[in-house]
Amino acid sequence: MPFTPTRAETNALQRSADRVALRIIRTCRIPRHEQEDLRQDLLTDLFARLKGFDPARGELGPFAAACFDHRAIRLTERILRGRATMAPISLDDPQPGSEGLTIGDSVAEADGYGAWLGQPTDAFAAVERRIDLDRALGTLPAETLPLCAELTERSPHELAKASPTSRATLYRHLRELRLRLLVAGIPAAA
Amino acid sequence: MDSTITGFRSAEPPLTETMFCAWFGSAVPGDRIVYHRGFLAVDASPLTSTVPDAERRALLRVAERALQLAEDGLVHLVQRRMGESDFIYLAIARPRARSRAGTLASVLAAAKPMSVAA
Repeated sequence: MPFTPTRAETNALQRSADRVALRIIRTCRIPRHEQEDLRQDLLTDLFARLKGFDPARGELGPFAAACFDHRAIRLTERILRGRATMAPISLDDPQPGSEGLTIGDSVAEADGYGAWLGQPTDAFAAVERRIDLDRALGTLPAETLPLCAELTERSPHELAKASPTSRATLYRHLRELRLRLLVAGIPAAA
Repeated sequence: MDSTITGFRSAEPPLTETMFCAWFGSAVPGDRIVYHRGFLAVDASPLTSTVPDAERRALLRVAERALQLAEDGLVHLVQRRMGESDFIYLAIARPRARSRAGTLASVLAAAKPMSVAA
């Protein structure tokens, strides 16, 4: 028979969820009014896991605390990851992983403001982009084209997992590919 | 001896390989960049260089990239003596040759899984 908490236990669970929600708010520095949503998220996650709780094996309190902690970690990661992707940056900020290039260097002038926000460019720009890519690919050594074909379907990570080539070799090839595309005038390759 | 450099765009140190490639990507024929000043053979050698090793390796990458672009016919590499063991090394962009057309289509076609006839 599935476990059903009593009213007193439910009240205690809500107070615990409130404390964990406040901890998330302090950690992530988010507004206080998010507490109710966070509490509901924690409780919903706990109630979904109650089918795995056996009263004969332990107390509800520690079980709930463990569930809340795990869920809090996931929520915190999600909030911080979302904040990182939406954090305002300057075009003059250095581009991570590149040598001396800025964020602005990776945005082509023809792309326009929308490209900075990840919006699709217009049709004419798309055609010009295709022509540029065609020209750039034509400058690459023929032996790199199979790698380019693979990269249209798979991420470097997936390619590294599926390929017998070592990850270090693959990423060395990718670096060389990026530099050659940069030479060919494809700035986003950086 | 002429010590005035005019009409050249001096690289802001340190010039990295990526920055050099980015320069060429946006260069028009005739554009020039100073990719090193000093004595390249000495400055790039681990036995004789006086700069930190990371900086020396970065210089070596730039020099090798410049040489590769020259071998591909994309730049002229020239030197100008400024003094004893003091040269400026310039890369001058050349007109680009026509590249192979239709490469993008062949790459995209190669990426698609082949359909099997029923």
